[in-house]
Amino acid sequence: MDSEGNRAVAAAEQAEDEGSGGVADAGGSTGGPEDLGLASVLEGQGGPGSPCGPNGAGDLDNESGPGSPNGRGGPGRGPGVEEAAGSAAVDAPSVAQAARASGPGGDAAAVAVGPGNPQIVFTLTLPFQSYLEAEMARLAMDADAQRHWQGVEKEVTVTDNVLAVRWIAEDPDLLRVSINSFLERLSHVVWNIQRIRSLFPPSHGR
Amino acid sequence: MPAVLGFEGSANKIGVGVVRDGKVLANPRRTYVTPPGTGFLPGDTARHHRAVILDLLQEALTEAGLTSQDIDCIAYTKGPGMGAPLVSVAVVARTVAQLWNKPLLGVNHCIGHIEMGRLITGATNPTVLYVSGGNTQVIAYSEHRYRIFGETIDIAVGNCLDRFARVLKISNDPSPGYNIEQMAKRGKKLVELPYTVKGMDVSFSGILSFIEDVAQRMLVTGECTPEDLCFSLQETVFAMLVEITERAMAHCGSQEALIVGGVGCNMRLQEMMETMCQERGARLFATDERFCIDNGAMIAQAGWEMFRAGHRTPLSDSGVTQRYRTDEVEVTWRD
Repeated sequence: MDSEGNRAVAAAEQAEDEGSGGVADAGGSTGGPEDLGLASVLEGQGGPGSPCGPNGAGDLDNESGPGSPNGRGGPGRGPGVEEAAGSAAVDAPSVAQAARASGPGGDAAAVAVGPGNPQIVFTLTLPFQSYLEAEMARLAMDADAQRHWQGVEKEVTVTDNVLAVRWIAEDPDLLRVSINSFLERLSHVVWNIQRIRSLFPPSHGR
Repeated sequence: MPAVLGFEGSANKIGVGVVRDGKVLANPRRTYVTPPGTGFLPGDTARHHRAVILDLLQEALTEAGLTSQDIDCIAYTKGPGMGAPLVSVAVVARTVAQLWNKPLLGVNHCIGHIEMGRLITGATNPTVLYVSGGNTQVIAYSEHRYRIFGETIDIAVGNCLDRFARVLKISNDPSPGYNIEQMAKRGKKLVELPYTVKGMDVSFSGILSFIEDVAQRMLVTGECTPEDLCFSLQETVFAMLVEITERAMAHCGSQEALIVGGVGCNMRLQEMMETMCQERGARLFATDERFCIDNGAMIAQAGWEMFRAGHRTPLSDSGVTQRYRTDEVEVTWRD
């Protein structure tokens, strides 16, 4: 398996071991989307003091089969990310302990296309505080989906309060870039939602 | 009396403007300036925009004396422009539209310039010279479209100036074009450069290559000064722009010319265009740096026109477009 995928899965496993409960810090954050540490989920390089946005479970599957020891998901915080349960938050997406992520279809099995044509499937599930927030995040990003990327398919769905993303690709490098790009945009969206709500609360102007 | 909030961030300027019924209520802006000798890259520019856009939003509403409740529509630059900066702004516009439950409008950046130029100057039906770092077009309105009569076949005139500024390591603060203009005022010698008008169109990439080469040689030998080169470049490229604008005015029988876009702030260009207009008995219109340079209010103004004409952009269609032609938009708000 690609080394980047190994690091991502290792990060997910370690995060699962550390437990869930991370809550995004909205009001106190002075930084940008990078502070949410979402990008660290994949890279496995959580920054110290980086509160998490919507933490999700990641699943990386390949043709080695569903029994792959690296297939377990978990709350997607990378190592080094502080427990953010005590952070001040304003309507921040809360994180539930995630069971093994299995993707929208509930099936983590690898997609076998045929001998000599392996495909990698990566699924990510991100719980938000509400359906509205999850749908808002999806709509904010969906219009700019990188449809021109050859060889990477991505499916984004919202079920209840969970945003689920499923990638299928043959090239692990393209897959990694697509996932990183998505997470970067997602962290930006989440940060925007939090900050706009804090700057302009629903009572603004009444 | 609809009030429209406009977000602009297609290049290195990020602006948020508020317009209501032809009045600009707020128009704060920030510019991402890079060190001399360098240009602005998409990723870095997008990061700059993300860091300041919400502060600008708050500043705009405070300056306008409005709240989110008072805003009727959220307009944003759909394109053309640089991909990452466009996306960074569009994401905020979509989020604001959803959180505040307001309709969303994707605006063509070029049309934003034109509509703001028309609003500020009062020009009725001008031939438009749109000149900036990213675009160079001669435009005239006909049957619900802004038609492109002539344009650059390679790089924009502002891009030519900006890249030449990098060769001379001219400061990018406040903008390379402005600093070239100031240096050109002190130029004394006209260095002959290629003059490349091709019918209704122009070409600048060859001039840039030529002057980059000339700069190396002539500055070393002392044949000319950097000021002479700035002067020569301006005189050459501006004369080309005046020619194609005049050609379009003659074709349309137009008695008005309007300059928009960041390069339109250049006083030498305005002077040369004024001379041409006077010779034709036409009138020249131009705006100042508040509205020439990319700004949020121009997007809000175009959005205001579009909103009143019934345009809406569904979220599913709110993606950005790096290449968005001026004549792709149906201008339903004009007769």
